[in-house]
Amino acid sequence: MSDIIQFGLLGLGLGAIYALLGQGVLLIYRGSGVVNIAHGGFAMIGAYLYLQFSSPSSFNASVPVTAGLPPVLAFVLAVVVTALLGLAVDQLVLRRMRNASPLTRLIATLIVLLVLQAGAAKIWGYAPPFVKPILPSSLLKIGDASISESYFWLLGIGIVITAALMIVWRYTRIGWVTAAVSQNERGAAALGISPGFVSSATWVAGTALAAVAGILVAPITQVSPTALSLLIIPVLAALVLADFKSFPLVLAASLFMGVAQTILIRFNADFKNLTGIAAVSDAFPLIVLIVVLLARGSSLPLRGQAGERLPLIGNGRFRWGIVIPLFVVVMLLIFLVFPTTWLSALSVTFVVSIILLSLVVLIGYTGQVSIAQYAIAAVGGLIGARLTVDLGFTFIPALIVGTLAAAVIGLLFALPALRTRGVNLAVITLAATWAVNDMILTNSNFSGTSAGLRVGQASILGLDISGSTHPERYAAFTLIVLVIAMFVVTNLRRGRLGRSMIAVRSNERAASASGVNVSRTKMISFTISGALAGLGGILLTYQFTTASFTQYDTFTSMLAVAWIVIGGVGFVVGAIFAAVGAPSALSSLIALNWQGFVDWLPLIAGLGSLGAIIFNPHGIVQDLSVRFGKLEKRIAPKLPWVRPVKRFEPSTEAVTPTRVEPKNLTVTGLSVRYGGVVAVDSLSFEVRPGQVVGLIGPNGAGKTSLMDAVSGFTPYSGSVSLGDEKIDGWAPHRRAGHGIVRSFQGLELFPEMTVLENLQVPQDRKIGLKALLELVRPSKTVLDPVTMAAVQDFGLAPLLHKTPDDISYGERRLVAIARAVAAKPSVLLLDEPVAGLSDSESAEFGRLVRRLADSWGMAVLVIEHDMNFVMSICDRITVIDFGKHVCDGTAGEVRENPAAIAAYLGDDAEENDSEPTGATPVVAGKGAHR
Amino acid sequence: MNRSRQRSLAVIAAVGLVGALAACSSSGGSPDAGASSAPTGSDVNVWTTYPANVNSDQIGAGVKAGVRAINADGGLAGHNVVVKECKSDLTPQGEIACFQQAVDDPDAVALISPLVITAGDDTDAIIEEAGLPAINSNPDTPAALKGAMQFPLGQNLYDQPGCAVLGGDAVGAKSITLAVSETPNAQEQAADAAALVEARGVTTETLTFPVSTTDISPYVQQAIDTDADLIMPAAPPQLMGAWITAQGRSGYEGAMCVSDGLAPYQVLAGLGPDISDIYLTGSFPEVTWDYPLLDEFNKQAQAEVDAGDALASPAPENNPNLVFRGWLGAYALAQAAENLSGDELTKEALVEALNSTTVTFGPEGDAPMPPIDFSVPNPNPDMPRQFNTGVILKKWNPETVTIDPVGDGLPVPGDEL
Repeated sequence: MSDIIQFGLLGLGLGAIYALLGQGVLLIYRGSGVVNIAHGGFAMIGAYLYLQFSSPSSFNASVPVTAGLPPVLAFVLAVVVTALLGLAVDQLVLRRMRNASPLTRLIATLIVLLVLQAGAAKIWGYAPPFVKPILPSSLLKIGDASISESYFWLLGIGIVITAALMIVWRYTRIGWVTAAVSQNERGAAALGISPGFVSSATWVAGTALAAVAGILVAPITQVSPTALSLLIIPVLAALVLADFKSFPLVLAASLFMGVAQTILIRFNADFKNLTGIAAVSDAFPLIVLIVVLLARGSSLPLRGQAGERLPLIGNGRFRWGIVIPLFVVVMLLIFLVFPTTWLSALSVTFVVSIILLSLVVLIGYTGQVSIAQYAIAAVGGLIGARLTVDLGFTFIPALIVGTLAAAVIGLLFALPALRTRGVNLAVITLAATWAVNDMILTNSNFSGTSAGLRVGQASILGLDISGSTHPERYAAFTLIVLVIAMFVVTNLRRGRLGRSMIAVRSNERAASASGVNVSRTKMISFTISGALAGLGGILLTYQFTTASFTQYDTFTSMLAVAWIVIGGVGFVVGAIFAAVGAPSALSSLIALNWQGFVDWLPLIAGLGSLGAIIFNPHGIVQDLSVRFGKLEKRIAPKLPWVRPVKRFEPSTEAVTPTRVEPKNLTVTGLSVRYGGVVAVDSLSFEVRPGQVVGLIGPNGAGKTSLMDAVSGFTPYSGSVSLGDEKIDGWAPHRRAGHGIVRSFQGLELFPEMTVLENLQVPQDRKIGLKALLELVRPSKTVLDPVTMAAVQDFGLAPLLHKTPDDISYGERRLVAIARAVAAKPSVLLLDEPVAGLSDSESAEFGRLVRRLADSWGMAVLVIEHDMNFVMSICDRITVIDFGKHVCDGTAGEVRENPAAIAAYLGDDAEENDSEPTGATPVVAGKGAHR
Repeated sequence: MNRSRQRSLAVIAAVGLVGALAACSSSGGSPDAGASSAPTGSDVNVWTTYPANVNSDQIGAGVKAGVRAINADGGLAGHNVVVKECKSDLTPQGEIACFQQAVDDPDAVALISPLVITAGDDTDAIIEEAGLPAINSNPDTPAALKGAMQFPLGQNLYDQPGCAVLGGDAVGAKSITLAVSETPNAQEQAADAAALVEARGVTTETLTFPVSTTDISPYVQQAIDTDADLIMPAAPPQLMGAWITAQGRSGYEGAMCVSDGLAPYQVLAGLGPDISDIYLTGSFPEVTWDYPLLDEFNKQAQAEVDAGDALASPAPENNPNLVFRGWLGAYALAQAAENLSGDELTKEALVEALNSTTVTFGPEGDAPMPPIDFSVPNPNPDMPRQFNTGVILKKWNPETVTIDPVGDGLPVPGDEL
């Protein structure tokens, strides 16, 4: 027992280290909205600077010698310089990326980390300097346990810093201002608070804290360019555990992480003896994150979370006219021109491109920020290698089985994605990568001896294609596989699976409302990307006769995401651009032939990458594709083998609207509660086919909560029936599939897709064998009769090939309704459909909605504040206030009802008098919104 | 000029500036190996390769120091020797690319002191096919240990076993704890070491820790808690510095034994009297020891420093063991060249010469290592090219801040431990 206590006490020290770093990360996150992956790098720089200023003789002779300063002065100077570095990062990098996606800004901080590491290595080298203790470090005896006094000092400093931050946050102006910005940046700016100033201030303070942490912990951890970088993983786990909420919570979570992880270290050896799996303590952050997700995560984002933009994506056209000639030329070069070193580098480039294609599918198309793909590639390669070593599999069977196994592993990684998204998902996959690397890839029980795993020479039907003996054949083989992979991925983009994925990426709520099974789509995406990653991993494994897995460390996994974001995560060609910069890929030929660059290469690559991501936040390929598109338009007509792209053109023949399957919507005793607040209180009503029912009430009456409940987006008590079927407990996509579809207040179109693709999403919701066949041969674009009728009825034909950003607000509203209609709903729920439209647009819209009920036979429930609109089109109107039923009736009846007048319409209601014909607009009454 | 184009140019300019600095800061080749008796024949190339960005550059400096001396002495069979360096990126592909570059060089006659970490078998296949000898290589894979082009002067396999047996004997250890990082090499050696001493009745316990660990203290504590007489940690140098520091400050009174390549001098020197009883093992002697061979090395290294290559410094802070490792390959090359038959210096001729060369390390009776005869393979059929299995036991002296020999400081055959 005493050893557990001893480890627990040691864990307090580790927890204090996590807390010191975590407070800085939280501060920067709150002030700038950026998760600073580079925080450990700043801590490292602070430690090095302190050493340089206080005891320059700690380094070897190649480090510039400066005068030794007194420790206190050296400390202050190191902290100040590090803080200035943090300010520079905020001003020169992140300030310019304010409009970039959160993913891109996260990647920018990763690249900052690489620059810091490369810079530190260049200045101070890799030889470990001696670090004198700063804090008192005599041994304390606590029972049978011995522990250095410095751990308790660290704990005390952590507590003091936490308390100080808490006081500043709560009781000072700078704290209030920062809190305001962190909660609502635009609102704060409207009040005259400068978000830019707050961001810079928190970066200065946060990186100063990082320097303090680095200086204090260096005597324990020692210093190297990479020493503190991976600490960000358990630190982020602690922050997620604390929900990024408060400094005291971060302290508590950090101490918990430190103590628990260190106690687990005590049992690492026993666990390894039992299972063969090493370093189980390194899986602890991952375990914490999984538990937190299960407890706290949600399968769909909350209302406010929708709309986070990711980098742009391409249109997925496979340009045969360019690919084929290029393929032929490269093949000729492979067999006739390139020397062996080039062939090896080419093979690596092709293979890494395949691995990065998995990120195009996962991040680019589906919006799932996973940092685990390189780890999955490694595990795929490991499985393939073990199949050969242990079971005698030859190359092709190992390739197939290994790829399938990697697909299954990819599917496992989908599970956290079902409950979380965005940065949280990135954090959990990063923790998983770290765990996989330490527990499996560097474990000789799995990855073989120091000689690696002997996989022998790869061959196909007796033909030796090994990179050792026939590098040209291996390069050719990997090129063929890459072209096939690109073909499949572009087909994916253009097919129904791709549209579902992009819908999920753009807006999970809207996708679900359109009938897309978000969970299933994510799982399919993770499976396909797992297969691609595994395929690449196996090809890398079999390039030579022995396989080594040391190159798949956590940094490389993080770098892979950085590469593809820089290249263009939404573009298939982006994977190739990104792969060029991978270790041992084509860019390594520069180093090979100009050795003077080798030591500088990491710094050059880091700075270049920073520049690329600042000025091309959507990736280099996005910029090139615009230029290339213009060039293509000029040249393509002159190339006889290039066929013009055929765009879908809708039929001009009139399509008679198809009447939908008639179903009643019956709501009985429905209540919605958010904690102690009752948003909807036991409401009952019915909407029949062909009827338009209006739901009105003042702001906060519970209208949207009711609509969220009926459409399955929020839990409720009571009952909802569609026709004869109770649909309580059904997910939104299932309700949509059975005929109840909604639109959203904020429209929530899919901005990366054209209007045509937006309309296709609801009709694509059935994913079957056809969707898989589309990976090989894409189907022709077909709009079903319902969607065609919607296109004609809503006048959308001229807009089909435009994206939502290219059309007017009113047109976007039409597309949103048409998308809902394309799902063939029996019941259509419209949430403020005419908000922001002019009178004439509202009137036209009203006529449209009436037609949906009259000609199509839909049951329509409308929430609106525009009384003219409501009074003119609704057969019945229900009034609610504070979640309770007030009254219902025809427009005239509601207008006369004193309760309705008191709750919503106000004194002007007597002036509004119309029948539900949609003909005569009425004057807006009290509570109406424009 | 539009703003997008301006930005692109700005980025290119910034990167180009750093690149220009890089180009100016390193000539990319060896410093001019000016000769007092200049070679008269054509240039021949020798290649050296080691991982970039992991503190191994001293190897290249050592090779250049040795080659400078060769050229000063008239070159290799009259030919001026040029050193070509290739720094790999620590991936198998990178190491293979460096070897491939060497064999593709028509003027290459040898690889000198190449350091291979991940691709032993594949790099061996490349030099086997090309017939390019690797002098003072570090074969530790099944194929490389049998490779006819491998001419190693040291050994990789016996440091840990040496610690366990020799270090254990030195402290009279009845129990040994091996604390190794989760890397295959460290774990294999630990397993070999444990087996050796267990056969002698010593109890052992093996603990492992991940390479990515940040706070090594819990693992140090775990090792100390085993109450062993000797603790043998094995990890990359950055972690070793942390381990030695943590163990040194823990109050633990037992002994420690580590491979000499892993113990950072600055850490040992900085800890002062906090540590004692640290033993080290390695293939080669310390460059501070008193032997004619090492005097020669120190002079030639200093000459290289004087020519502008600070990395060749034999000062203890500069990891001079790596400089020595590099230099020793050139030293052996010079001896082999004396056995060349004919005037032609080709790789084939050099291989023939090497196969009849016995490398001596000083006058008889005053050499730190016994001669290595490349014509006599190791009798172990699994490792015929492991000519030298010697392990030298050393000890850290905190008072003189030097690493001193234990006993006579001569190597003990590792395969006889």
